[in-house]
Amino acid sequence: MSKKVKVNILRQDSPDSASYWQRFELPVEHGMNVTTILLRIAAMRTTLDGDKVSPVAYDACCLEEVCGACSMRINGRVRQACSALVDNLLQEEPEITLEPMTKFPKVRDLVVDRRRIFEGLKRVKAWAPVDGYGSRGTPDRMSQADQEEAYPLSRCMSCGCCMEACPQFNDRDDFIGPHAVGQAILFNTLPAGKALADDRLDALAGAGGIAACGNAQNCVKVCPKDVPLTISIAKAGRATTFHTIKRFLKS
Amino acid sequence: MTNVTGLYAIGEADYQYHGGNRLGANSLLSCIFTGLFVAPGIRGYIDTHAVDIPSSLLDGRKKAEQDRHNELVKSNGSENPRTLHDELGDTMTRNVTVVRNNTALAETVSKVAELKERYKNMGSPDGGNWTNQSVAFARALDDMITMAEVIAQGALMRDECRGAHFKPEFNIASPDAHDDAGLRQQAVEWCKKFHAKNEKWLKSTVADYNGGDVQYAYEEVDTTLVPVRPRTYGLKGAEIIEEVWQEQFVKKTTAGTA
Repeated sequence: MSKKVKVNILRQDSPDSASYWQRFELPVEHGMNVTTILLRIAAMRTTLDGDKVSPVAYDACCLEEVCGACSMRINGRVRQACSALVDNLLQEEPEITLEPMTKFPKVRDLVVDRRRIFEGLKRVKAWAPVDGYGSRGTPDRMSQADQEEAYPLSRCMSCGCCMEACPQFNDRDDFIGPHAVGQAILFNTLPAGKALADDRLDALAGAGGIAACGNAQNCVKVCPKDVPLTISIAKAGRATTFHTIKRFLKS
Repeated sequence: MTNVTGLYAIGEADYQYHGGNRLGANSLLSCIFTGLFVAPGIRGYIDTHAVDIPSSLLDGRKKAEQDRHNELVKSNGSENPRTLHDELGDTMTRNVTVVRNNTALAETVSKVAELKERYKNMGSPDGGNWTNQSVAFARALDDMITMAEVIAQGALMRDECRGAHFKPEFNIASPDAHDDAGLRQQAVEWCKKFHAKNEKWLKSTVADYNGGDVQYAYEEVDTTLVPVRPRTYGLKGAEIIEEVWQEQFVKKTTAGTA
């Protein structure tokens, strides 16, 4: 008899309905991850109590921890379902528990509305303004030191983990989120992004910007890509201070 | 946009992702990228060009898609789409990747036909209309089964070994003689077989599907700009094969265009 795993899933049929738990049991496969568990449940459709149920709704895309779509709370800790391996999880807890992220509006089961992640990026203009087809020539070269600072920031995949773990990110506040601070610093470092540097600092200095950060440092602890979020927040603090003084002297 | 106004080819259907340059499975990012910038393009096209299209033109199609959706949501057969998908993926991964042989391909074709039948007896795992991922998946599965049928049947009909569609049964054996004269003689034979293979199989498979049985046809490959030449790496006497090919076969194959 192969090893089996019990999986508890917090389900919810629609955004406004009540949530409820379901319990499943299935054989452990070699190299199995949480996404595979959800696939097997979709094929099996039977709970531990023998009830026939609809497949669990969940998001997934790249299955290699680069897209950030499958973030959820696994054994109470927010992370990606694709890179959460059953063998490792069973060393943490005897069973596996899956819940949707709590900081985003529920859609169904493990699916949440992650629009606010993208809205945060829009607020800090986290892009290089190079629309159009005309050649803009070769951008300035970056120093080795700047490249080494920028690269870790570019690993951010907007998965939502930092926001889920952040006490300041909630529905009572309009904090842009740690990821957006990191991306503002990234694009302010990139030669192709510098044209919007002042706009980004304005956004960071404004409401919901870095002043909303309480420095709990949970973000950097849960980040699956080791993005130096707290370093970015510190840099943003310094840069917005200078930026604001400069603004004041200019006016 | 394709040369049919208003028809877009996005992702892997796009023009630049084909076996000629993408054998390394490195097209994922490019596919995502085209999706990312074509989607706003389509939106722009609809807003600027498609506003005056009469709704009567679209209503029929809309209704057909809605009917298909409703039918799938209400379906109550005994087959689970995830199970069918697992079986399809399993047989395709086993038999229709790089190394292919006709016995396994024939088995695959009948397995896919079986899945196509079983699909008709599918039961929707989810009767809801809110974030019903099962129905979207079941719709995609229908197309996957058709694509699998075309890929497996097309491969079965093609009795040749070419590049990354490797059929060992039809591989032209490498020359193996120990002296130049022997190698040259074998190279001539090799080139003859290669030439004969091209005469028969240097063509694209075209599958025509309109809901009924798939019709297969072949289309000549345009070789006027890039003439056919043997791919000789890993072959013994590769230079001799190339020499023989240049001397004895190039004039023949390009005579019409020279």
